[in-house]
Amino acid sequence: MPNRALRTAASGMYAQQLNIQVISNNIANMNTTSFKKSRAEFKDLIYQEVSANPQHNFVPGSVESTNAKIQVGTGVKPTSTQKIFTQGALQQTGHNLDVGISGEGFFQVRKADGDFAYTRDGSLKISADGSIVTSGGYILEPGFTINEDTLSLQISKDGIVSALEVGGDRVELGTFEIAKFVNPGGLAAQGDNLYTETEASGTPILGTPGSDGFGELNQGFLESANVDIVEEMISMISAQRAYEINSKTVKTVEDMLSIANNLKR
Amino acid sequence: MIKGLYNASISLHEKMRNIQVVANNLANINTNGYKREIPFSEYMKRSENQDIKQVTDFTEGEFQETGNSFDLALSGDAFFAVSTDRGTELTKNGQLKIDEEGFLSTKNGDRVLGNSGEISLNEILIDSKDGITITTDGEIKSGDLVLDKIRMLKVEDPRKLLRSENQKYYDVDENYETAEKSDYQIHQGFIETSNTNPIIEMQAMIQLQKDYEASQKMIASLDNMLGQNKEIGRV
Repeated sequence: MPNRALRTAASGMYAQQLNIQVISNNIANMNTTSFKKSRAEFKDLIYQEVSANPQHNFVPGSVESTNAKIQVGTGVKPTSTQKIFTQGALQQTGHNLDVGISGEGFFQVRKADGDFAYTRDGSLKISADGSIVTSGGYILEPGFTINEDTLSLQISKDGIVSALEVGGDRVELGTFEIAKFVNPGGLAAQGDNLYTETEASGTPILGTPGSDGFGELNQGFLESANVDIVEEMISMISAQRAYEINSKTVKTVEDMLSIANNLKR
Repeated sequence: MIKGLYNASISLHEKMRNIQVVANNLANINTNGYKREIPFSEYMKRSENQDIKQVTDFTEGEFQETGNSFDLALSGDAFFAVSTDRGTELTKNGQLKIDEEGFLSTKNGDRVLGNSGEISLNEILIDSKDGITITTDGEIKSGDLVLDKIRMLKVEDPRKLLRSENQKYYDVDENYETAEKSDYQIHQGFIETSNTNPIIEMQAMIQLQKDYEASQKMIASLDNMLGQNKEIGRV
């Protein structure tokens, strides 16, 4: 019995430790372009039925009525971390190839292993062979290549990319498409600002930016992280105090055990 | 004299069990949807009816906005119905997800029940351009399409509910009633935090420890008195 209280308190301390890890990762990524914050989630553990009257257990011949039993819980367990896909603030960079999405949607990129991944990080670059890549070097799909004569690129809110060429001609190169998910919270974070689809997120639906609930593209802007430092500080305080109060439980149980040891002179 | 020893030891047992309840409340201080257990001594004072074995405090926790459309906070007396290995169980924890087969479920994989059974979202997962909207009375919509309505249940006396893991509750005989619209309100994009209050639990902890100490003192003095009995009649 006393062990159970100690273990319950220990599970609480462990859960808060994990909570702090998630919060510190959010804060560490405060300035990561298009970073989405996470939240740690917990669940309570199984409940055990114990006798309401402890003496029943060792009085011979006593019959215990089931009604006299009460349920006692056994602690907490971290279940998952949930990504929160709220919009981050769009910051003006003035850079031609920075594209921020305002609203729902992800750029679709192809990973080295051929699978698709999704990102909101729109700090684009042009690779050596002229294709448009993300800052991580992943090729955008559907993408297009840019020839050597291009002076500058213009990207409209609905994703149409046109190039200004050396001769002063304006050439339409193609359209950016972005992908949307029914449940973006179900996406798996892969690091490198990338997410991949899971059964829970649903399949990606590609569409034109600015239509049917897809977000708009903003050239010359980048989406900053959606981490709110005040909120993270509050979470940190609450996690730290929760850790502390669980350690108080440990101390109290320890004191009680010490009293129990002093029962006999 | 021996009777006194017996009483004091019951008190020691009870305090030790109550500290377990307090420990569990505090361990779950950041568990969303958690409802605190009332320590047994407090519960004895409250209950007029001895066959109530439930000790859950169902007051509402705080609502926190998350913006996630699969986070539902529930106010009122009703519960969400979920299907588990043991049958239908109740929960107030509305942090939902879509499971591997496309059904709406809780974070722990228990499927949420709608008016027509488990709720499959496969229809909209493939090609819907609209997200999911859940109205205050539990209708699940995607655009104009109404998929199902979340089944909301209530019980006559929530104090009789038993607890199981993952913030669930159940009645052994599954004596549930369908909740009326006026009984509840669902808030999409919010979560309900744990209703554990650290001040109450700290106070309970201090009280338990002092009571424990007092019982120990009582045993010590009874022990002392029993020791002195031997001296009676000695010249």
